[in-house]
Amino acid sequence: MFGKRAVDLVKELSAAGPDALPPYNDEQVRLVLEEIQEHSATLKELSGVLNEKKRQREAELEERGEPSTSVSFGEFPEETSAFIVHHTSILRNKRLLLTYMKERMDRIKRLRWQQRSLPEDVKQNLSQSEIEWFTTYSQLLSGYMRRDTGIGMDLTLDEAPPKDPDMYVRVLRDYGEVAFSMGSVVLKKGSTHFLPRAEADPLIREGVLCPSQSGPIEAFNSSNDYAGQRTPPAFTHLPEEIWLRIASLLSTEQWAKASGACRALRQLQLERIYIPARDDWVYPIVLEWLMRRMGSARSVVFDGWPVSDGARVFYMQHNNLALQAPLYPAELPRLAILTVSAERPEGVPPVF
Amino acid sequence: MRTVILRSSDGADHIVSSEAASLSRTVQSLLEELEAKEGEESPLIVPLPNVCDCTLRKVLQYCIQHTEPGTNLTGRIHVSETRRRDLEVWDRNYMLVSTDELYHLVMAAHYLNVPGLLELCCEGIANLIRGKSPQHVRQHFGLVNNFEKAEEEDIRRTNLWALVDEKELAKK
Repeated sequence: MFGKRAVDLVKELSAAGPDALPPYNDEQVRLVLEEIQEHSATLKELSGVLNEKKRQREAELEERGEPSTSVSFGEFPEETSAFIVHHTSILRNKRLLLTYMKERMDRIKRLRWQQRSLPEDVKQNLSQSEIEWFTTYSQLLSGYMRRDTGIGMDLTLDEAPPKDPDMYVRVLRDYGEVAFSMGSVVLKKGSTHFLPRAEADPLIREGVLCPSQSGPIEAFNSSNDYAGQRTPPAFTHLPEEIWLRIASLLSTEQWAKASGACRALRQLQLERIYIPARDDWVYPIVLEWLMRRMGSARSVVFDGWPVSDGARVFYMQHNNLALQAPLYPAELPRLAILTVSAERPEGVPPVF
Repeated sequence: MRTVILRSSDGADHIVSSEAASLSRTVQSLLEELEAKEGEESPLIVPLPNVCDCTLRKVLQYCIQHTEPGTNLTGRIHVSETRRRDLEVWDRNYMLVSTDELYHLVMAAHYLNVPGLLELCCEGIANLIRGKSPQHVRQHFGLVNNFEKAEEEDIRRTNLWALVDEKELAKK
């Protein structure tokens, strides 16, 4: 099959994994090039044959006294299609070879950014020109980053922009007081601080600080010293009634999303649930969600949602809740009755 | 107009008008008690052991702003339209605080029982929650994911309907 070798070449690279650099397959590349040469030779031959045939046909036509301009290659379909197949094969082989080279080049480039130098074991797998390319690229990059002639910044340090301009750091050894942009901080061994990333970085490299995954929750105190001692917001301690108040300001949908954050939020029982159902397929999930939220509700009032009898039966069976006909309770004790307002889009029949 | 002294947990004193202080129902009831006990003349010192100095200062900003001439305690019905609008703008700017300050503020508002401020803070927090994924909410508010793996998956599944709409919006 034409192009099989080149495909194998690319496959070999992709099978090795996204970052691996298998040995440069010189032999296979050579074979592919040879294949191209063969195609090229065949092409030349075919073009000779085609031109010859065309000339013959033209000569025949001239003998009969007809205009010779109307002869096209399309009149010799066998030779022409063979010609096209060989030509396309050359193009395909070329593209596959380039893919192979480019992918390898990208991986080598990544090595420069991630490891800065070429590890010896990888170097053995590279071809001579690839090693040359790496050296030149490396020189270019270092030249660009150099202090005197370039931008004076090591770009390989932070490849991805940091998610947060601030970070938590733990202090590894006593360092005394350091002035940061938002105030001065006494760096005492073992303490954790929330500092601007850019300002903490030099100290991390010095080994004074190390990045910490999270801040100390227990260190949260009501000290008025926000600067330097910035502790994470401890919203976990927010009283339930405040969360309820917050929840009441959000739509049920938004709250449903946010309540997946932690157990305390999940356990809050909303007084009012308003679910605008948009598609018919949403119903079953919404009902299931409601069922789980209403474990402690003694009854449920559906308001404005024409729920079929089937849904009521289903609901009662699953939740031991009595479904009442639409009813407008003005004031009811919390958790006793949930008002469900769900809107059904026009033209969508009830699911149950 | 009488002035009162509010003492924060770290001992800092704030002198404010009793009008402003009375926006806090907690302080108001304390003041009434004190007045009955101490008589009209002696200075009124209200210790607030649950509120730190800088939060108290922030709360008092609100109280003072909301009791400035033009408003009176009888209610906001008499407040002129322009004044009301000014206050709204002021409130919006007042809410531009960091998340932990907001936490302190909402706790203080809850303890001091300042209904307007509490409402404002809750709105502020609700605004922060709006449009955030659970992951984001956790990050933003320092909440800890204390679900078990299966539980979380289950929640994600049953909450799909809430998440779906977002995808549809994105498509549009």
